[in-house]
Amino acid sequence: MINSNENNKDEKKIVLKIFRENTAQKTDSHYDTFNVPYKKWTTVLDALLYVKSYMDPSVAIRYSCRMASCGSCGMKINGIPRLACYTKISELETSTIECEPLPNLPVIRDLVTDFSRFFNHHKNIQPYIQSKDGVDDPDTEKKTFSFYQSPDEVDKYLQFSYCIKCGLCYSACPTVGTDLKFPGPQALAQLYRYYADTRDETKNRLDIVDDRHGIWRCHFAGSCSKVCPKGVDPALGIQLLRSYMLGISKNDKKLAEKNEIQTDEESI
Amino acid sequence: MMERHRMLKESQIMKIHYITGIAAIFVVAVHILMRLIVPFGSSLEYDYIISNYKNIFYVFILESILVLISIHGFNGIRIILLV
Amino acid sequence: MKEIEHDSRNNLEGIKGWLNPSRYGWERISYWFQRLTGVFLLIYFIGHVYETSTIVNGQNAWESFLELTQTVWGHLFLIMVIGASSFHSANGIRLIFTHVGIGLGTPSRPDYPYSPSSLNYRQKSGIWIALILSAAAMYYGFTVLFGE
Repeated sequence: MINSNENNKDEKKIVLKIFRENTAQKTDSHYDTFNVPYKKWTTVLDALLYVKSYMDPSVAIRYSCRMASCGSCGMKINGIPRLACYTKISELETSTIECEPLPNLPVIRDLVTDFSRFFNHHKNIQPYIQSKDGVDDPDTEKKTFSFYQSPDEVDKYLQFSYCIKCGLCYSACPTVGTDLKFPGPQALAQLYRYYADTRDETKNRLDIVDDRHGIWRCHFAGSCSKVCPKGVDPALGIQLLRSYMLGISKNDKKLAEKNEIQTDEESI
Repeated sequence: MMERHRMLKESQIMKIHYITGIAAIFVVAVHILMRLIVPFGSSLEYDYIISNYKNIFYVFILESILVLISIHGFNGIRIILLV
Repeated sequence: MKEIEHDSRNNLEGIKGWLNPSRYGWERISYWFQRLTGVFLLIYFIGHVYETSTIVNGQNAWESFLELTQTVWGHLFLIMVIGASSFHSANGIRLIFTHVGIGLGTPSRPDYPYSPSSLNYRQKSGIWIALILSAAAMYYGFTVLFGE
């Protein structure tokens, strides 16, 4: 701390414009402006937390891991949906940073949005592996299986399983912007992820989205893949899924071989 | 999400949308080429157009343009208006 | 606290989201142009059918209606139609290919810095070719309509 004065001289400052609104109290929305010091490595989330600590504790933000793993701190930064923890101020190369809540998701307060609709769409596509054994065999609960998958089979879906459900693709999608019933890039890419998985035996997965508000409302604007912070490429998943639905790609998925694992009780 | 009482599934409607789109490109190309084989001014003369309409092949082309573009165009509007 | 309804349209971008396509790159511009040209062409199509249907009322009706369209603005409108139809056709063919999964690459393990394989240069050049084709067609239309 001896050099604190010296540091202060060199300290660069950024103007942080934060969207403020409290929907429960029905206050009018406005922007608050703060001058925040930053370093080369300061992220937008760091700056927001600085505002909360030293300037205005009432600013509402949602965050958790600070390392682009949890997907909580998604917000519109300078007009584009990004993760605040994954966006460095120095990389934005502007003197003013505008933080707004993610578009296409209802605002709760300030930068915090309601993800219920987003998660409902995700749940609707049955995002879990379904095995026929679960239906036919009453003793399934007692049985555990190991599945054999080749690296090539894993590569078909692994990219899409990196999704952290941060909602950036959902808020960038132009179709979601007008159509609430459209599942959005995240849910559709996850549908492909389970469809391409050789452990999954669901037969009617594709029917879930073969609807007038379903997968066909994607027109490949590519914005979802552009904003994805994990390189998931939802647009690719959606188009590949569509090629199966049109019968261009044949679904010749060979189901993964299952090996029953002996439980401890049985082996004793 | 699932709506079961529809005549056509959305995937079938979209197949029709793609096929009518591609087919329309070909018939419109023929329509434009028929105009281009004569100078632009004379392509619009009354007698020339009436004589065109007596060519059953050309009438068939025009009718198919009407049908294809109507299906493709109005389905496109439906797609845009689905909110 | 009042629960926020799931069908709330609060904070939806709506058509405003379409109006600023430049934020997200060429694919978003192509999305916007495809819609714009589509609607424009449908309007032209309806007008064109109406215009040519006047021929059933005889030569006088046809020629008097033709006079209305054979103006500088009428020709400029026609040049716009030529450009719009060329773009809509060329980009539409590209989109049909992408919708069936052709030309997008295959899924692969993403490495930082991520570059999505679906937004590759084949797709971008497809959009550029559609734009260039439409510009060329408009130029040709210009020489035919204004060259006489």
